[in-house]
Amino acid sequence: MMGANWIPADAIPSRITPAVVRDLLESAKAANMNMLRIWGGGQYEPDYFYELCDELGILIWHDFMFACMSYPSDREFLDDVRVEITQQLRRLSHHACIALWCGDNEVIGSLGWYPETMAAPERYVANYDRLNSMLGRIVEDEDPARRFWPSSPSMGYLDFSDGWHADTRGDTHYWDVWHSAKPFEAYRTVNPRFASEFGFQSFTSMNVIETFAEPKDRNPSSPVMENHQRNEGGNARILETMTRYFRFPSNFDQMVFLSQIQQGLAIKTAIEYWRSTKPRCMGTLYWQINDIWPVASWASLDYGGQWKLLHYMAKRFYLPISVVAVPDPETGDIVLRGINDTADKAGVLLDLLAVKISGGERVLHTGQTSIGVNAAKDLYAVAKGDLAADEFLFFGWRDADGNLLGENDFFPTAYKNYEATPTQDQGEMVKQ
Amino acid sequence: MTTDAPALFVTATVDLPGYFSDNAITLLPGRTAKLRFTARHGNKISAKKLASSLKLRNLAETF
Repeated sequence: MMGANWIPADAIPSRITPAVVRDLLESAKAANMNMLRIWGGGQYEPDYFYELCDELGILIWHDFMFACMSYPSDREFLDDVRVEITQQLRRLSHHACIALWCGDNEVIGSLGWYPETMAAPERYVANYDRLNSMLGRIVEDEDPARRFWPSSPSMGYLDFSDGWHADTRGDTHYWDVWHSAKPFEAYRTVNPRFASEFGFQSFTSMNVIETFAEPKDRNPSSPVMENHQRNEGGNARILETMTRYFRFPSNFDQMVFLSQIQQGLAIKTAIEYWRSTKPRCMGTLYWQINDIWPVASWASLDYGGQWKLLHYMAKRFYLPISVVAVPDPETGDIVLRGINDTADKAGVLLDLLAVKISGGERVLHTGQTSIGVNAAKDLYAVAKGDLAADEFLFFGWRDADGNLLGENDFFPTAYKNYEATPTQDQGEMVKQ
Repeated sequence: MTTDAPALFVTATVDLPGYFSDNAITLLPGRTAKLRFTARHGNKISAKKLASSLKLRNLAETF
């Protein structure tokens, strides 16, 4: 599965219209996504949402609407929930797009967040299971063809352990890069079976910032920009990360541009690696595709639906037939891996170049191979020392008929260590 | 688009609702990148209007 997490389309419900939702879902489809997770902190969406997903071929991982806190388990509350869930299942289970029903978002993990639940964990686990197991029974009765998955993240049935770091089973929410400021390379130290949440923030695009910030407020630590950031310390995290990978920008507009580049790089690092571990990892859903208001966030689409740079990169790192570069921390080699998410064997002709940052390129490898159905495999290893300090890898892959399927690159060290040459980019607009 | 030196994260933007077929790309000298623009919401946007707000940028501007 390749996709992202979905939150309500707007903070103001009356602005959520079929046209707005179609636009967002079409952008998901255009970025090669085939699954969205409706997050349990959001809402059961209107009928047309599911009709559009049926039409566009987007599968839905559907959380029930419970998130991030303990709920009561008394009889009255459970009776209420039973009515609500039964109604939703009867309304929605005929849709082809529904892939699975999931009990909640992060309720198990939240037992470790609050003083009341931390003081009596056994009581709150039992309390949790009363509601959660009822949800599973309702799914069994109302929609027996579909899988009920207890929670996101969940390590499995009757397993209430940590789904934020364990990567041997179930689905994983891996947040150490954003919330614990680990380097992007940390994504390659975990091997989830299904990565259902992980994200990295950027600023919303400049033309969106201009809708809420006066020129004098276009500064990452101005009260306006801090208000349009709902994760405490988020703007500082973005800037601190920038100094690790890039040279510090000289103006606000460049900073916004760079923040979107680094967001894309973070998620590209995770998804390219996890896809390349197929069949260990069979799904990646990044947090998140859309925004409910104009804000610095983990989203790949601006509020209003404009594509941030992550969304363009998603279109590439979610190519069904892809080639990625993964460094091997033990040998120092850079391994090129082919990934095939299609139901047919994929013939791939790989062209691999070493390119000097100042210009000039040399061929490292050309080779034809085929990648099995729904599989990944190693294609070539660039030995440690094969690449000069001022070189990076650039590679393209073609199908048997010579059609270019995709291009990708890999920089062994941070961009700030290269001397980027000022360029004369030329563009011309042609009507077609 | 073309370039006279390796250009990283080459990005075309317009202040109009729609998206290009690709963006934030690595562009090497001697190669041409062709981007197609798709207007969102089923709109039609003329090439002239696109050209009037087209901006190209890449990583080198931040060095």
